[in-house]
Amino acid sequence: MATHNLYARIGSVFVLTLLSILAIAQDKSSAKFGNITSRDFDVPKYGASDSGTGAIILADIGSTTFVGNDYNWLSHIFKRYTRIKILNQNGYDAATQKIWLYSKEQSAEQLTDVAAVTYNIENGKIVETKLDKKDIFEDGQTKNFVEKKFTLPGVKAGSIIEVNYTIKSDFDFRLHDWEFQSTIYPCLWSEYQVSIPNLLIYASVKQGTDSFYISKSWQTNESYSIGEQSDNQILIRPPGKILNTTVNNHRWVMRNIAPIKIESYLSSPLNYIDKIEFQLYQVSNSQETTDVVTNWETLVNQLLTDNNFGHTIDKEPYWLKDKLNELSTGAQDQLEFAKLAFTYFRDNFNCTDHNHFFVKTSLKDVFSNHNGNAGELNLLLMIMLRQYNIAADPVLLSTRDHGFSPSSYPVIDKYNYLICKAKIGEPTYYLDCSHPQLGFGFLPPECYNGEARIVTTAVPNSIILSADSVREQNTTFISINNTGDGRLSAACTMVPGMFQSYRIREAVAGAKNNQYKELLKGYLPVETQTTDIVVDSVKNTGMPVTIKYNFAINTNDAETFYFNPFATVINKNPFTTEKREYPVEMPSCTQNVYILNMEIPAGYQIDELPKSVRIKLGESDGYFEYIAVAANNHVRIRCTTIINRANFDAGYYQTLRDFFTFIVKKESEQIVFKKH
Amino acid sequence: MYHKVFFTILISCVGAKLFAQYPVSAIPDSLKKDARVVVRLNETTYEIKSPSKVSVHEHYVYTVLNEKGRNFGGYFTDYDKFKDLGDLTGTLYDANGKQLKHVKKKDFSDESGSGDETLMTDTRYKEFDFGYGIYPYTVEFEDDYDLDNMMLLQPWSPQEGSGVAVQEGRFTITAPADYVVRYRAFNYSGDPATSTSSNKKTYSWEVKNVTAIKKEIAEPVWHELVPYVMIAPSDFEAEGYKGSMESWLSFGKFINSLLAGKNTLPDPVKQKVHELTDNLSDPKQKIKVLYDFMQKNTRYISIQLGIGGWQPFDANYVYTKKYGDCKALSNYMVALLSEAGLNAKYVVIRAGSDASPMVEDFPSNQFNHATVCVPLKSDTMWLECTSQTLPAGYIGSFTGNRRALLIDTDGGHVVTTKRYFPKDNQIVTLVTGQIDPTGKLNADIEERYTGIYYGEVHDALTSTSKEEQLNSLKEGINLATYDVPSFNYDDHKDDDPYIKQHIKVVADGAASVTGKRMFFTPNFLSQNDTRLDADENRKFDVVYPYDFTQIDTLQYQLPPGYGVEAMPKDVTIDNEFGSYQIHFKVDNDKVFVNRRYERNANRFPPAKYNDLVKFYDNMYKADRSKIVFVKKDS
Repeated sequence: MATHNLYARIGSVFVLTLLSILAIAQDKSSAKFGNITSRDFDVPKYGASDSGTGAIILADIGSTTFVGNDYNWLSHIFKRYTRIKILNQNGYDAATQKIWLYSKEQSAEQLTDVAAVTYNIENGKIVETKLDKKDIFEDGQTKNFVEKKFTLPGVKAGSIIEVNYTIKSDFDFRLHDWEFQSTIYPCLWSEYQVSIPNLLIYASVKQGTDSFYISKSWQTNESYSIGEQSDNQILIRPPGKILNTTVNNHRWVMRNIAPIKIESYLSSPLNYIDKIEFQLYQVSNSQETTDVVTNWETLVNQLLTDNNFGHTIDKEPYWLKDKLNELSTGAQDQLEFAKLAFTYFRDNFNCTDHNHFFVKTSLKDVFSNHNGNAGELNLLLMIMLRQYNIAADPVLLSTRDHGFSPSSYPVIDKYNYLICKAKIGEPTYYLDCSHPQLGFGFLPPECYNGEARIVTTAVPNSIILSADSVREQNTTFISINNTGDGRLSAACTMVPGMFQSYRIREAVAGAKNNQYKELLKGYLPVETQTTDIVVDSVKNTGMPVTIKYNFAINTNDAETFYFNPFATVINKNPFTTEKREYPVEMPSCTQNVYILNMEIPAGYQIDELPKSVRIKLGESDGYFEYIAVAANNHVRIRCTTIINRANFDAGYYQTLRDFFTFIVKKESEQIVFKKH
Repeated sequence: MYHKVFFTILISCVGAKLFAQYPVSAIPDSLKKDARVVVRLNETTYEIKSPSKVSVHEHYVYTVLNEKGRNFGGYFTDYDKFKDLGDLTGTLYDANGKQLKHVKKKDFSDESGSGDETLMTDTRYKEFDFGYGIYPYTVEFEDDYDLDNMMLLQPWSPQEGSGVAVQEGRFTITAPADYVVRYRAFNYSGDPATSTSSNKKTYSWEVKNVTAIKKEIAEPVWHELVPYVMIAPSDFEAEGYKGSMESWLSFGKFINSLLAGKNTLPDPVKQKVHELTDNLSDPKQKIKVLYDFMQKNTRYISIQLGIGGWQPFDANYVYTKKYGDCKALSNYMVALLSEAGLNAKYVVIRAGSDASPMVEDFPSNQFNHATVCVPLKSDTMWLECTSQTLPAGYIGSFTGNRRALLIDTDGGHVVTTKRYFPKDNQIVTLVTGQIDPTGKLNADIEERYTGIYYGEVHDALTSTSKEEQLNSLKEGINLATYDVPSFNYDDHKDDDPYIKQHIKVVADGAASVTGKRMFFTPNFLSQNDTRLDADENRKFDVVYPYDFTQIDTLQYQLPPGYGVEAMPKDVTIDNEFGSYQIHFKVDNDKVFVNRRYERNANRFPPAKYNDLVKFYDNMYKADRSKIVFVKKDS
């Protein structure tokens, strides 16, 4: 929520463009504050009306305009009007409003004109209950944000509520974004209009899957009366201090928008919500025009001179010298040094925050406190590498749950994480020392979220960290032999992929012992007791872990003995829903190899063996292969699942689901043995 | 007093720089066993100055041994209108006891205490985390605060969790000699040391070298396991309200004083009450009608400011705003019932399905919730006023099966809320299905939930959308791939309410086909997931707080042309934990499965633990039994 002071003022190459006016039937919402008739109480129909929603947003209408202020500049005025129909108790939360206001130094955003009314029909008449101003609470949240909040009185099932308020802000970079889509309720009419004087140019970026019902732009001319406060706080309003300028107007409307759906294998629903965002791009007073940020070069230059970023890495790190000497005595070459430095920071520093990268005070403090946010720790590693003349640079990225970072759109708020790039000889390594269980050259799954930016004075390149480029290789090997007493003993060795190994390592080290057990459970056979469980290579973070255990198999001397060769696999299709709204975003590509080598139980022969089979996923997106053979008194099964992509369109969902359906079916087949 | 001040100054100015503080080498090995944290010192001092003022000084020193103890490397406290936070300092030491960092109050973060649950509160949080990267390390925190409300007194418990050992702990209470200090110690032998000087009496408890406890599944409540001292006032005063906790009766009188004058209903609602109830003769019917009226015309909103944490908003407030918290809604409900001539009572209670039971012999503020009780001739009705949907008289696992304090005109009385027995808490499942030759299953499922299960299912069904209902439903179905073409339920809000769910399931590959055979797990709904690790050294009793019965009756039509080749063995388990039976039968082209699982709420000695492990293991296997079908003509 906290906006970093300097870099919030950043624009992009997309400037508000004039779009054609649509020919339309209904141009305006009929909802207007205080204008309620009994007809409005009829439950409105909308597409997914049987969804069991608790409320319907009948209208949500916002606008932003500008006025001259007393500090020789412009302020913006955001007005919002919302009308909601409460259907049942699940919609009561819609009656609570929370508004965050920003303040910095002398200036604070002002909330005014709060009016909120609940309408109920009682004995055939519309009864109004108004919000009492005393019931608006103010709650300090962070240094720069205060929360104003209230809940409407008189709400019950069937109520209509209306809320109206205005926010005045002096902060150019806080132009209000607009979400056309709710995370909870359907919305029948969502509208936003901005009227921005040509002195301020904003980039607007639209995201989401639904299209506009209305999107139109036009220009007008306006005059803004501007005052000025002198040093002794006396207002000077010189006559004729009027700014005449063109104003760019834009109005967007969406209708009948269902709430966003939370689906599995979706890195962040935030990527798909219908929304318009604004970034300040250019400012001009009557004399000159200043680019706020127009491209990555400017952004990177600003970053590199920022007190909380560039300046902290420029300074000569004299305080690192002792540690540098210590580490370099143990290293023969750059790679060895890099590994030692990485391990040192990883094992001796705590990451307190994986969601920020700006340096709070200084890297020297981080070094002496032995803790910091992920960015601080990786910057520390970077300057240590640079001390050894390794070409190391910071790389900014947005983690999966933080949403995508738009490539052509340099906005620092879109980034929340920083890793270290190091070029050592030919290979380039991407390093993250903020996770104690992560090895040299490995990144955690949340980093694979698309475009990442290298912050260097040279032309700032981007790199793509895509889940499609990561292959999670899981290998299982089970060997089963007769023990001579009518039983069989099985020895299992499993090597999960690097991501899963990392999770297992974290669980082993972490405070939640149950978490580890739960994870391990996924690797153990469900129906038999295991013995001699060993998890190897936990400390060796450059390798996957190895899980080994034994279990006993008893034929019980039965006439027919049924054996499930996939006893260690949880047979459940990960895609449970019938339909899919958004793309499937898996954390990696998949390569599962399962090998079973089983001696035929003494006294038995094979009655039935699962058939070998191979199916493809799409043309070349993957395959599933199951080979079962019996030879030399042994059964051998080799089962391979390959998926060459991590990301699939929603349209691919059924194919993917069918593929998994086939796999779980096949993997539940059994071997049948009969006595001789 | 002077001595303490002098001592503190010495530490912060000179001491730390000259002498190593709390080196890890000074921890005896016995305390490191099974430990993630060693409490080097926990010194807590309460100075009761008057019934309305207590000065508190706390001094904590923790050595964090490894990453599992990381959350002890910081400080967290709340404060509000009644808790005036004074000095606050923190110091970080390395393993050798060398001071690395010192922080003051301004370095601690300050956060709002309100969130999704509470619209507004004056509670705020102060927090600081050293989060040091090299284990082991030691942190030291000291704070001072004044409490203007003795209902906020916290028990003293230096051993704050499993894996925590205590090297030294001291708890001191000083009070005017004529003030009755009330306490109740657990796992502490003997009485506190006392001394008297200049009209002040001091009580102190001291523990040394307490070894860490390993976490055990289903262990008893924490205060039964560790040194623990509850403390409560005799006379106390908060925001001008005076009371005494010396007995439940007197504490109830205090609550009465907070409720006084809050129950006046405005005329329109009085009329409404008479309109709704005057022509009803059955008191139960009156209660139902008024409860329904309250539910339809209010909702839960929590606003906790000052004494408002204990005192409800008045009945008129709830009537006009149509909202309130548990106190305000309960008070309103009592007022509505009183207007109809019913003798309803306000009740304070510790709510939650895993709330620790009330310590009955120690009157003190052990409550976090308010509810309503209406004693009737034949039985007693309990009304949960924060729910807009539960049937009248239903309280479930939220406030059922426990003690509570009923506030009568003469003061407080300990009462027992509704008890739910194994026969009350039932899940009855009926499945009728057909399997086709491809292994596809078509099944009709009917499930009936009663007792505490009713509330759980009711909450899940009423608080979510259709889609979310379906998603949560799917978590309980153990089939590889399936669709749910239809799903509906009936919520029978009777005196003994129940929910009946009807689900159709179509599962491709529910029976797995291998050649001429088919393998099918008939019990795909009620598979018990629990498996425990055997423990030869179980230390504490096994506490099992739930009574229930699950009955599954399953019937499947075989695929045409198939017969049964192998049936699973019947399993019967019967022991002090409960009983379990699963029975399989073939009859022509049908298979029948009957399963019954029953558990008793009780407390079992540690030696019985491994029997419980076995119980779960056997059930786990039996629940997943497979039937083998084979083609007839082959």
